[in-house]
Amino acid sequence: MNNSVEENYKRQQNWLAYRFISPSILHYAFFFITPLFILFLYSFYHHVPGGIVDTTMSFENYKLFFGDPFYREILLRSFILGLVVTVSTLLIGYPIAYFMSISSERTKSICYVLVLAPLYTSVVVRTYGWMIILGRTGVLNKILMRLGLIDDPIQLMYTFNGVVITLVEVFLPFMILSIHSILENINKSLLFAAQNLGASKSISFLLITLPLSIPGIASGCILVFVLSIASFVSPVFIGGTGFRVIPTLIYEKAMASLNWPFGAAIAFSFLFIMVIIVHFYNRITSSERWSTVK
Amino acid sequence: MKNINLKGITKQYKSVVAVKNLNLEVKEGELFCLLGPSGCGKTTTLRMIAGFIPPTNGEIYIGDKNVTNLLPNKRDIGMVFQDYALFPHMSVANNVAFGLRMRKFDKKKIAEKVNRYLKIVGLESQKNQLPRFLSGGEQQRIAMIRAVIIEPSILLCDEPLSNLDAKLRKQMRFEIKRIQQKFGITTIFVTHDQEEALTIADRIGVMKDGAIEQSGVPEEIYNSPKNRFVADFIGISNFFKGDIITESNVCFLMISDKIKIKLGKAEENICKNEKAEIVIRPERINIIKNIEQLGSSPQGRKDNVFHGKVGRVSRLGSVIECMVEMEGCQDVIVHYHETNKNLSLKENDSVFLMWKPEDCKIIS
Amino acid sequence: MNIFMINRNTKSSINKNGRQLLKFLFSGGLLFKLYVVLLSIYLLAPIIIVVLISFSNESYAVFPPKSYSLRWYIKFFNSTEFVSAFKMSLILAITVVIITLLVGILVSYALVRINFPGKNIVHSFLLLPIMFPAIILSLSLLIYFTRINIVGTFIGLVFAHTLVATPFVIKSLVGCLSTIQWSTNEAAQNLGANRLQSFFYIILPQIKFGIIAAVIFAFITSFDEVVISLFIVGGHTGTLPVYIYNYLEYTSDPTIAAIATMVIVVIGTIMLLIPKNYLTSIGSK
Repeated sequence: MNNSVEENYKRQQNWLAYRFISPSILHYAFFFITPLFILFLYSFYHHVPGGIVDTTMSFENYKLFFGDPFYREILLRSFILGLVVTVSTLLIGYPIAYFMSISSERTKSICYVLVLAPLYTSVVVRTYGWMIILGRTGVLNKILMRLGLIDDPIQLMYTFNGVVITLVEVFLPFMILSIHSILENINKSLLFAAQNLGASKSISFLLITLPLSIPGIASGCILVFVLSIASFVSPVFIGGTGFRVIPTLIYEKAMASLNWPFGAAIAFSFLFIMVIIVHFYNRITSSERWSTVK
Repeated sequence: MKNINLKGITKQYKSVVAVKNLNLEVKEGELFCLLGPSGCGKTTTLRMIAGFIPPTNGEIYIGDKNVTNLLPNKRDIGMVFQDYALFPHMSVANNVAFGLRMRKFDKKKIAEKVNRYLKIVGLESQKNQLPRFLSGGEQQRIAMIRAVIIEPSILLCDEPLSNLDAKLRKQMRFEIKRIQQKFGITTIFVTHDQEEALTIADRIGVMKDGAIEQSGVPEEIYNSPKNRFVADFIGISNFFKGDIITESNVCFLMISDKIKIKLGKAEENICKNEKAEIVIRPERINIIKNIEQLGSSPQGRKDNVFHGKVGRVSRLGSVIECMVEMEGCQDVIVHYHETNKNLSLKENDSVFLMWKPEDCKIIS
Repeated sequence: MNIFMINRNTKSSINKNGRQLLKFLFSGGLLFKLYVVLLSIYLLAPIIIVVLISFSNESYAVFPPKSYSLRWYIKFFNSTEFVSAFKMSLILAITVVIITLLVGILVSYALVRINFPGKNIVHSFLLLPIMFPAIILSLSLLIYFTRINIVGTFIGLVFAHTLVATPFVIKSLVGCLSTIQWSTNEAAQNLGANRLQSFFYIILPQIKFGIIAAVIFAFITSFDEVVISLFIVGGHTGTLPVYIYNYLEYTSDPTIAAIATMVIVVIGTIMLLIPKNYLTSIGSK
């Protein structure tokens, strides 16, 4: 009885909250969840070329995707692409993040501008730029030949490596920022303490800075990985029609062949594998072994 | 100006009762301090008066008006917040003018009044400055003026000095008191600092666990604490517990066979009890080095005299605090002023403690 | 001792000259600064080249251009298709900004101020769309829109773009609403303002920067959106990114560079308005 005033107040507030979030929730329900659900159903349907889709449910699309080595190879290529891009961004990006964390405010600001510059343009624009750079008669080859570093033009367009180069450029900012934000929060006095106790700069980096920055590395890696395996524009233009990864495969099947059911199955298989990877990744990275980092 | 009346105010959160059936009357023009440790319910009470928390039970009257169900912006209350709550994006002048703007005053009149009030706190030169460029003390004064300029019926202050350093706090106390007296606004001032309350309040209400333990003027609270909590919270106390015995019509608190504390006549009805606890303030105890200074023999005197050994001596500003181990009894804290040059005490000195029976206050 | 020492046995197609150059680069203390310079070139190269090519006088994309002119810009402005695609993207982006902002403020206020049951679930749920690969959302929306007949429509694009823009807006608004001194809200009410007045006079000005950041993110997300739009514009030209995409599939003449440069200018100027703190918060998912 004494509680009723308090409860009434709380109830009022809660209803206000529900009213405030309802437009968004409804929007998501109708244009996010429902389409995904329908897509899920479609993955079990049967594609009828030129006709209405056959809604008898079966696993045949999934069996086709996982059974055919052609598709498995594409899946593998996608994940290897993700892995290579992730590792590359990590190796290239970490030194920059480190450099930013030890430089003055002014230098840091300049670096921020430079690192964030790629985000100022659309992906399509950047990809177009790379097309010009990576061609046989493109900028890169021209420069390398003129400097005398190579004798014949390197084939980068329509290759795996070309796509990697493009994607690394696109996703480097994410990795750098991820690592940098953690590095910024490392207590500088830890390094002073280490050096005071006799460690050289390299050792204190290896034994203190590096381990403490692992959360940043971990979050940067999963971010870049997930983004790169899902990327579409670069594989299309730099990789070309012969370069198939999952996103381009889905486009091909859904838009070109209009085989929505199969496209849906590919999409959900891909999603499923991604979720598993992320889940296990999170379990490993948040396990006790890394919790010395606080 | 109006008075404030709280009738049976209770605030219950699920299983915790923050405020228990509180009854309080604050007179017109009075500065009433709600004093207590963290979590005692004083801020909750204040916020209920302000209208930010609905009471579970009870009624709040400002003057004759029952404001219990009114929205905060309709209660005609001025409030000073602990973090000042100055609007960071508005200049000092606009901050102070806000309340008047909401009341739809004429622009010219607002400007003129703002200038006048800023002069009162000496900050008219800062009127176009943003709050974040002002010092803590200046922000505090602006917060105060912003609340007072709307000429509210009452003023509520929620630990407004907590964020200032010690010296500034002491200065600002008087500033607040001065403004309050100048406008004669009925004020409730919440604080956990007992020195603050004792200094500026007209009346104090000591709170614990959602209820007022004792309310009264500062002298009363200090010299006649009703219970152990109040005695302990306000100032420094020496507590003695023991049995009551009577010898030749005089009451004694017997702590052991050797130690008997004479109690004053005013506490006569306590002689009917068996056990009691008393409190003595440190400054009421005199320290004497030589027994000859007493004149007549200890037993014949009206005062309480006991022998003891000095423990630690520390200086609290101009007051010296001395911990004395009373012979056969407990440690006792004594305060004396440093101008008392006869006393230069060191550890392990042998001394005599003396105090009047009337200074013993019964607390249970 | 230098931890960046190059392994001499690395297999590469770089010839003798190349190896000597690399050795020279990696010794010495200028390491980091040089690295930063090289990296900047790497990150900025595509953009710079695109901008330069847009002014080229050649009829195909060759770098460096032998002569310069504005002919591709002229061609762009004369092409009604391009211009209408540009207009469409602009109007769409503005619409998306307005809708996400209105909806987003409501949601963010509820998430920050009210402790309602299910708050955390709702919060995570609302940030979900950016975790999904765009390609999957695209296919699902294609099928869905076809079934309810809004493929190729403006309203369809609005629904789709607001879906991917909302998480950014919410992130931004929740972030800055969390840093406000809420006692100012109480102080305002105490001084006579009702809830609405307090919101407009006191809260809104304090979240100015969060709103600006949200507007910018929403705008760029929509203006830049290519994958989902590609799927749902149907046969129409639709948005600018889609038009560029289609155009690139067949030709790579510098008109694209001119368009791209204009896109850079539009987005670039808007981006320059964000304080850098908000950008870094986007980098962390």
